[in-house]
Amino acid sequence: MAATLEYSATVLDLFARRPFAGRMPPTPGVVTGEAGERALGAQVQFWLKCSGQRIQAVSFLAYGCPHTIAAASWWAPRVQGLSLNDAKQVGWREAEQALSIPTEKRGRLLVVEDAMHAALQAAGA
Amino acid sequence: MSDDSPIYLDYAATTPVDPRVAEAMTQILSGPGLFGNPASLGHAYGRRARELVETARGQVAGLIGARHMGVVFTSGATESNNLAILGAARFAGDKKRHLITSRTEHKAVLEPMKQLEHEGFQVTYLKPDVTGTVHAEQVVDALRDDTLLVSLMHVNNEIGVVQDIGKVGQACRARGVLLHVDAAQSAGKVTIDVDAMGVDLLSLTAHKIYGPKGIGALYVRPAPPLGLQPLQFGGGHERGVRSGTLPTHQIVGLGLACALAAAEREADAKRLTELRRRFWQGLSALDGIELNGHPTAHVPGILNVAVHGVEGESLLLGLRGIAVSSGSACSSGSDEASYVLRALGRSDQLAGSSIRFSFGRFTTVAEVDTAVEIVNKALRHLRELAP
Repeated sequence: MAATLEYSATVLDLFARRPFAGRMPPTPGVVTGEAGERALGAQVQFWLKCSGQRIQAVSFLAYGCPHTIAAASWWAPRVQGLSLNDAKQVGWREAEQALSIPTEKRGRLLVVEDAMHAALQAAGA
Repeated sequence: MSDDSPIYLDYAATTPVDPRVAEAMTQILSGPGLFGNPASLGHAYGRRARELVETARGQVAGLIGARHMGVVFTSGATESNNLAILGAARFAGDKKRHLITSRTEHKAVLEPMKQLEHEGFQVTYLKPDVTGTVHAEQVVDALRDDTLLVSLMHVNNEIGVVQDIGKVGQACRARGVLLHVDAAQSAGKVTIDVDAMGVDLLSLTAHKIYGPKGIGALYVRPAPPLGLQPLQFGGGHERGVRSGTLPTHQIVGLGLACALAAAEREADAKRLTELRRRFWQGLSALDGIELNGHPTAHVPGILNVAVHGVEGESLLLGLRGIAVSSGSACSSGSDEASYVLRALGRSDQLAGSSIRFSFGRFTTVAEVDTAVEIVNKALRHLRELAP
């Protein structure tokens, strides 16, 4: 009946502010991709608004631990403005380092990455 | 603590030391001539210390309706549980090799039971119903000719359910089986009368009743005498059951904590019942919150709830303005769910998003109201964020 809650300052900040959180209305140029399952502890959905091969806007919704939420929140601005191909190069290792995410949470990071890749694929990457 | 410290709602984990207890302990530590060894009865220092120890022994005994000589001082409930279970089983040796307990006991009971299994004993683990209740009939059904001991907790530390120990005690007495009760969460909170309840061994600790950590007691039925093999050997203190120089200041702290608990139990219970009711009323107005445990047979100070639609670790972080315990141990990333909640039939996910709130002597109405607001805000935050 106990838990040790140790998070980096960045994770705490992103968890509290959750920038880029929200659902994007289904307008032309908007695609979405998701990964994970609630029953397994993490579910993430990204929305991308693209103009041609470039990502103009990103948003997300996430169910999961603070690291999952912070990672999704970090990923959104990281790929905004990039081409689809460049966005595909952003991976879990970069997020792990940027957010000081512990190794045992790598699985959660992969869910976030899978959700982004699903969205990029839907956008034609 | 500073003004921005979290609201403390984790009294079931441990309680702050009551200032009256701290004052009494400080007097022993710094008072002139009170440092004597209670075993040194050849001089005034030792005799004074012994007097203090025996007064405390009487205070502990008074809390549980026991005779003075039945109280053995230990380092806390974990040691008491180990001494009761391992001590009774090893004393019995080959005569009786079967023990009964439940799946929702504290680890300080389950682990000694596992140890006994390694030593060749057989243990039956009873499954509680969905409210966490272990029924006396289940115990009766599990009794065997070679059953030595039944060990059940009086109040569950996670969900606060109160077991009908008296009924189990009757059944055990009728079959000549020892009954050990882990009363770490019930001593000082509900009425205990070891004789009337048919209890042979009972564990309690000071730090759950506003006393210091590191001191507890094991009640050992004095008559007819009950044999226990000690866990540690030395100078033969505590009638040979628990060797080691008695820490007078700790024992005085435990004794006074017991005396205060006995004197203030009814008033505390009334106040805590109202605080819990107020908190539950606030929480149940929010969507997707469900009680873990028994709706009526519970201690006044513990409320465990399952929160639907949010992930447990994020919920706990969202509640960082309140000091509480969660239903998962997610520090390892394994999201290991509470075995108690799992035994009640909760899914891993729901056990993981369960929170135990526990109230105590120093909890205020304002703290309870603020805590409800914090829960409400955390739930909105997380539910809005979920896909």
